[in-house]
Amino acid sequence: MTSDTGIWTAAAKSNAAAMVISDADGAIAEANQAALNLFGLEAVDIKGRSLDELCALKPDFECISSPFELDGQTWQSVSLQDVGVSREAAEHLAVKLKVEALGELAGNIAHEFNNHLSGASGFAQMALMKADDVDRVRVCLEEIVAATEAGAAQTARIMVFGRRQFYEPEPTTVGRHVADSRGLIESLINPDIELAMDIEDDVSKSLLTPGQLVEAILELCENAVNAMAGTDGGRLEIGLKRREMDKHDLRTFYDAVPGPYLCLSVSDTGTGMTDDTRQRMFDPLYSTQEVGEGNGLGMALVYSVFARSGGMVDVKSRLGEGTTITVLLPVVG
Amino acid sequence: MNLEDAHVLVVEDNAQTTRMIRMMLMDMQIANVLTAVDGVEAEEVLESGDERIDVILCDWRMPRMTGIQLLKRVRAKHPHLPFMMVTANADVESIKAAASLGVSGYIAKPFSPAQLKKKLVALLDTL
Repeated sequence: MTSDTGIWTAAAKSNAAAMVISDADGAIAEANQAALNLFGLEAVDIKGRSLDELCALKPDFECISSPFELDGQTWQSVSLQDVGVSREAAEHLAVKLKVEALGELAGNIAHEFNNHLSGASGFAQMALMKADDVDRVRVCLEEIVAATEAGAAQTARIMVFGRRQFYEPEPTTVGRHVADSRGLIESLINPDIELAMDIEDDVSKSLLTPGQLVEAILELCENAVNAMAGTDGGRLEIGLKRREMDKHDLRTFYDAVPGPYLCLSVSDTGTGMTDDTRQRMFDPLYSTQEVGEGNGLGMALVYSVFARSGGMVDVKSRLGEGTTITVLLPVVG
Repeated sequence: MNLEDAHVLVVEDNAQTTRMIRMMLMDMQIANVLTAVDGVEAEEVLESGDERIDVILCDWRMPRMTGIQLLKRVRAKHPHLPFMMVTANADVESIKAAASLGVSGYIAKPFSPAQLKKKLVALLDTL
């Protein structure tokens, strides 16, 4: 029977991933074949060299150390991961997604504005066709005013999303604002929906504009309520807690900085989202709502409000079970 | 078919565009105008069989069911029903797709009452 130690030694030596073992001072004691191939060194040449010095030779590699104890001595097991390739792939993907998103955004905005222009020009022409019919001209003029107002309202919302609007964030006690919004949230929900709020932290602050924070919370709740519209009853849960987040906790977010975060979550027991909806939910102008009810900028605005404060938004959804949206906001002060 | 005898179904999610088209059609003495806010509602109108429909004027981009999806479904049951796409952005790929599915014609927004009339007369002449 193979000994436990023996099988692990053999596995580590033959592992396709480069791996070295160093002592507590960072001097290399052992290296597997993949590590020797990576550095182009023989076993005798690598032993005793400094781990930092070796890692510096490979800037595209990330050295992940985990300490362990053996026979009363501390060692470090270090795996070397090639992040250069994945970084490059991520950059290519980011460019591709950006171009696609811009194309879609431009298309949607063009479509919306063309509708407004089309209304204004169509009614203007119809007014001119019978310019002496005062009642008809009045109807047409009202339509023209409505078209231009709709266009202007849309411009204002796009400006918020496009970060062109005046914006002055301040350290804001998120918990207090969430708790204070309870009345507004209750006004959104039907009596058959149960509202549960769990605010663990009402002192920590994040850099936000209080008005926009409340608007974003209401938007999240409104979406949750809409998702439960077709179901019998339902439960809306709003939670806020403070957590220390390390690199591992934040691994799915690009460029996130470890530290204290406020985790604001809004959960519903509604219909849940399809993958397509989940992927498009933050697209400006994308809407799942009935015609005329939503203009789609809502979730894009939510994303924009939180992203400006260095926050991140995570969405977990299961069809038929519900959705949880968690916002991570870096704590300031 | 005479323009004023036509029964027109307008499928459009933008309420103002619907009102505009309705007024343009009324100016053409077309009294029988039905409206639907999207493809799903339009299909319900067609499926019910309660209404006579001679021509469909359909927006391209709509939630729930797009114009092109509606065209596909309409063509499966009504291969010869005149179906005109009303489009804000005439991108070549969409027009090609609509043509291959048997669209009868299209008109680009913004359009004048005269342009709409011309297109409709041409469509109804084929009936």
